[in-house]
Amino acid sequence: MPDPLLQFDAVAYQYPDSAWRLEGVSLAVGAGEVLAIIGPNGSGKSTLLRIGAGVLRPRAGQVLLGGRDLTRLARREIARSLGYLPQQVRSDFDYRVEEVVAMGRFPHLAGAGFLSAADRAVVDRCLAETETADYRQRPLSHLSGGERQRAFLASVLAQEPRVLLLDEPTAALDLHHQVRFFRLVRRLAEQGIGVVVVTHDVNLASLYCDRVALLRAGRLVEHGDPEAVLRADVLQATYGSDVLLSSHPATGRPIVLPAAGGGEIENRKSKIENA
Amino acid sequence: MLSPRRCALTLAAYLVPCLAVVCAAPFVGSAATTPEILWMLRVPRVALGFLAGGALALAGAALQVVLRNPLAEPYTLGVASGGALGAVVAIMLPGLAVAIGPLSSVQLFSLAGCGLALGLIYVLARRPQGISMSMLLLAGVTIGILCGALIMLVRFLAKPTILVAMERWVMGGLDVFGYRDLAALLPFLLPGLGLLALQLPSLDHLSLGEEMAAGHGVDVAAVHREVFLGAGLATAAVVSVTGPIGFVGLIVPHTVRRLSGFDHRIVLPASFLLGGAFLVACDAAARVVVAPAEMPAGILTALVGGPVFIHILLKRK
Repeated sequence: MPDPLLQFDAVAYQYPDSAWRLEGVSLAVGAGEVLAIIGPNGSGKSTLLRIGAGVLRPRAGQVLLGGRDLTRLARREIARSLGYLPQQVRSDFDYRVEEVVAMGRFPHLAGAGFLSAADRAVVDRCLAETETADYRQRPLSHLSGGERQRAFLASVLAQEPRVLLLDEPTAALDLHHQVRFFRLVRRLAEQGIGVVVVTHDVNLASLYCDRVALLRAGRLVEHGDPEAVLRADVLQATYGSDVLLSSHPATGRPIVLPAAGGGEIENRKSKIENA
Repeated sequence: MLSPRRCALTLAAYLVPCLAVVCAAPFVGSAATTPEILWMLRVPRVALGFLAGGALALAGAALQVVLRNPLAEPYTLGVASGGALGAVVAIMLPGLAVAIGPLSSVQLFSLAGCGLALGLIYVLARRPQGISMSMLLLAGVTIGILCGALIMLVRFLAKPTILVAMERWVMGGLDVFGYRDLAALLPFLLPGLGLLALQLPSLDHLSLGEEMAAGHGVDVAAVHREVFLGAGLATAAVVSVTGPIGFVGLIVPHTVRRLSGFDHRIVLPASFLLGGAFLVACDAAARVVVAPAEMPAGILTALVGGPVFIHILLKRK
């Protein structure tokens, strides 16, 4: 990759009062690229993303944003080129959608933070892009989970970031909204934004991401094309023998299924047949 | 989306009625209002009430956001309890009397109590990455209870004749004499209000959570620190002069949010105006209700504020 937008360089981290460690992770994402970070619970995915967003400071190594050390940049400066959507955002107050999106202009504004005509145009564009314009006047409490998640994404996009970090953005969404969200992510990548997305959903990672990085117990164990990472031996080592590797009927990309064989359904079937 | 014009219009809608209350208040009271009573007693009293009520409401509005707790108010910090402890100690031990500038002995001791409580809470809630808001809440409430117990101890030890003075202070009120108390309020109130005002553009982001706010470019640790310090200073200034006046800091911000939405560039200044006018109105009513005696304004703020607040909660939603 010639010119990475965001680069993790041998990043390590340890939480206080905990033996768990994130160790020496090196990764990079370039323009127009979607990188998925997958791994079991507690493997360090969200920790890595927080370090990438500058919310946590690495204990060792560094994160480079456009070639500059993240710890030397002011928060506003970071926010002008890096957007971060944390896991499960919730609002204490019932803001309207357009108010939340307008908040994303913060790093570009001075004083009391009133929007200029140009800022308003950016907000309108982000609403349209995320298909939230129809309910821009609605308060957050009147939205479904999928609509709310797209509204928060619109708020992050209003920062006009070049890199986007998404922490399990589809964890609480139904299948339709998961697909819709990842298609939106692909469209953003086509506009040149580099995206790092943490997800539990190996299949969405395989279908919509250019590269996959697999973390296990705080270490980066595999990294490459979905086909190269999602191999039977790797999956077995990570998730045990409870998963089955297959391929997508339309795209041929690897997909992962829960392995049947606990026997519950077969048992029930045979009981029905016996009866 | 908030435009400067809509912001100005909304604030004007608060300013006009609040100003009317403030202008009318000095004329409320016993029939014979001489120019001397008006200018030397009523006007400074109304000014003090407006600043005190406004500061409590403003501090409450900001604390509700950063502590992410709708029940937060200036007294949640425990600062006021420290101030009350300082005041009852000063009342109990008149031998220690000192006065600096416009500050009386009770006011000085009260400020010292506030300062001690503020420092203690800061040390308890400080973490390497900034002040922990959950620890701030716990430490504040604990210091409050601790100071309450110490106040009981002081009262237990005090002579019965002094108890009346302590009792009166703890009720809170605006019985001031001339402009001295107003001058005593300002040295800590103004920097406190200034620090809170600086947070206007950042507060909305914090109600989306600390990580989302940081992602938007807000220096979360700095906002936490400055709201804590600003609210602490403003509350200390008010409490040392008026004693504890409850409820204003809790209900006024919620009332404003019900009326005008959740943009804190509106909520903060509007809370200041409404909180000031509310306390002035309660104080004026307290002069009339039991005339010729005067009821402490703190009793009325709760008696009037409680039902009004319940009405607002029931009417909308």
